[in-house]
Amino acid sequence: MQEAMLAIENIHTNYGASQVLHGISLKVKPGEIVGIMGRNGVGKTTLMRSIMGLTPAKSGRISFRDADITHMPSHKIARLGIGYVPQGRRVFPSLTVREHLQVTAREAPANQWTFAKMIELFPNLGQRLDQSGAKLSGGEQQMLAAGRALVANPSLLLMDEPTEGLAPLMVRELGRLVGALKETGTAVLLVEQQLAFVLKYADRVYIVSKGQVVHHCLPSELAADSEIKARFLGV
Amino acid sequence: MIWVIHTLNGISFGILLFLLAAGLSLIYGLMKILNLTHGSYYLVGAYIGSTVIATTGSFILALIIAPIVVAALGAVMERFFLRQFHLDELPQTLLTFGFLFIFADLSLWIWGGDPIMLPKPALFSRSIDIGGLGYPTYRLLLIGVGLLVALILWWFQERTRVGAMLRAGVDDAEIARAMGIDVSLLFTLVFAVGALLAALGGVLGGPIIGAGPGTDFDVMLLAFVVVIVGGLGSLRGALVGGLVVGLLDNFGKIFFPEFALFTIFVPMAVILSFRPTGLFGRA
Repeated sequence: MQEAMLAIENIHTNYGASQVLHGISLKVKPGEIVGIMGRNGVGKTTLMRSIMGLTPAKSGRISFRDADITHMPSHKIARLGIGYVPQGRRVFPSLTVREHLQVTAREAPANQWTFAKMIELFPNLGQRLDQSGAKLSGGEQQMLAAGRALVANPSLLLMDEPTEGLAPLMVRELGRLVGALKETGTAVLLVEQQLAFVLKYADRVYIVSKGQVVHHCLPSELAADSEIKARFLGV
Repeated sequence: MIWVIHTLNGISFGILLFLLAAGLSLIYGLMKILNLTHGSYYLVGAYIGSTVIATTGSFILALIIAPIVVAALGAVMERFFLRQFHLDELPQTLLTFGFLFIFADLSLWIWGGDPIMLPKPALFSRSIDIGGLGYPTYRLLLIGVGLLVALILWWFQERTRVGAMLRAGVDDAEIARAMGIDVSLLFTLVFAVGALLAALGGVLGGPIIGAGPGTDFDVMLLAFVVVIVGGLGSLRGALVGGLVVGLLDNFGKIFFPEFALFTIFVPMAVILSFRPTGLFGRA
C-alpha cells in the first residue's frame, strides 16, 4: 500500500469558543480523490481550515509529505503543495481574472497547470481576462477559484463545497475539472453535499458527524447503504 | 486671479495630505489597524530632513535620506513589535499609540522644543508671476512631486505582481495566505512604504507648515479625515480625499477664518452620511 501524502491524526480544533473537531483522523494518498460528506455544521469546513493553517488545530497532528504542518503558517503550507478552493469561492474583487491566474503561479518545467492550460480548460475565463473577479457569474467564479489554486501546481487540492449554488451545466464543467485532476495525478480532498458528485468522482469517502469521522467506505458501498445515507446525510 | 492662487494653495496642501494619508490608508486596508504613529513619521521625517540640510546644505539629500531612515523605523516597528500581536488589531493599535509618545519624546530630546521651518531648496525659492501675483515655485514643485508619487504608487499597485498580491491581501488576507502569499511580509512592506511617504511629506511640507512638538498630532488628525473622506484602504481615495480636504481647509480659512477645523469636519460628516465608507471605500 502506498504511503499517505496527507495524514491527519486525531486533531481537535476550536472555532472561537466552541470546539468543532473532536479527534478527526484521515488520510489521502497521492493522486487519490477523497470525499468528505456530512450534514451542515459537522466541522467539514473547519477541517479544511485546519489543514490550511487558517484555524490551526489545538491538538493532534497534520502531516503533509513528511512535514509537520499542524502549526505552520498558511502561506508555507500552500507553498509545500496544497491548493485551497474555499467555500463560497472568495475570489479577489480587486484582481482581474488574469491576475488571479498569475499572482500565485509557480511554474517549473515539469508543472502541468499553466495559465494557458487554465484558459484552455475554461474558455469562459479566457474571454474575461481583464474583468474583475467579482463581475463573473457564480460558476465562473468557481472555475476561477479552482484555477487560482491550480496555477500554483499543488499536489493536493482541497475543495470545499465546489458545486454549492452552481447550475447543473456548471456542475458538469466542474466534474470535467475533477476528472482532469485525476488524470494528472493531483490528489483532491473534496468536501461536498451533492452525493451524486461524490459517488461519481471519489475513490473513498469519509462521513463526518459532530466533529468526528463516523464512517469510511468506498463510494459504491455508500451508494448501497441507505441506513448511513439516512442517518448522516439526510438522504 | 487670487482664486487661482487660493486653489493652488489648496491643491498643494492636499498633495501633502495625500502623502500622509496614502500610507495610513494602505496599512489600514491590509492590517485593519489605525497606525497612530503615522503623524510621527511626518515629524521625524521633517526633523531628520532639517538635520541633513543643516549638515550638507542639500535639500535633495534630505529628500532621500529622511524617508529611507523613517521607512527603516517603520519596518522595525512592524517586524519586531507589532508582529508580537499578529492579527490582533487592538493591541497593535495601542502599540502604535505608545510609539507616538516615544517618537515625540525622542524628537523633543534630540531636536528640542522650538518649532522649525525647513529652508526651501535654492532652485525653488523664487516666485513666478500668475496673473500679476507672485506665486512660490516651491508649491508647484510640491504638486509635481506629489502627482509623480501618486503615479508611481498607482503603477506599483496596478501593474506589478507584488502590487496584485497587496490588493489580494487587502481584499481577503486569509485567502491570500492560503494561496501562498506571504501576507506578513506585505505588512512590513506597507509599513515601510507608508512611513517613507509620510517622511517624504515631512521634508516637502517642512518649508510650508514646518514641524514642532504637536505637529505629529495635527497632521495625524488631518490624515485621518482624509482617509475617512476618501475611504479606508484606497489609494485613489487618499488622493481625492487629500485634495478635497486640502481645498476645504484652504477656502474654509479664507471664508470662515474663525471656524478653522469646522470647515473640514462638517463636510466630512456630510460625506459620511451619504457614503458611510467614504468616497472610494467599499462596504
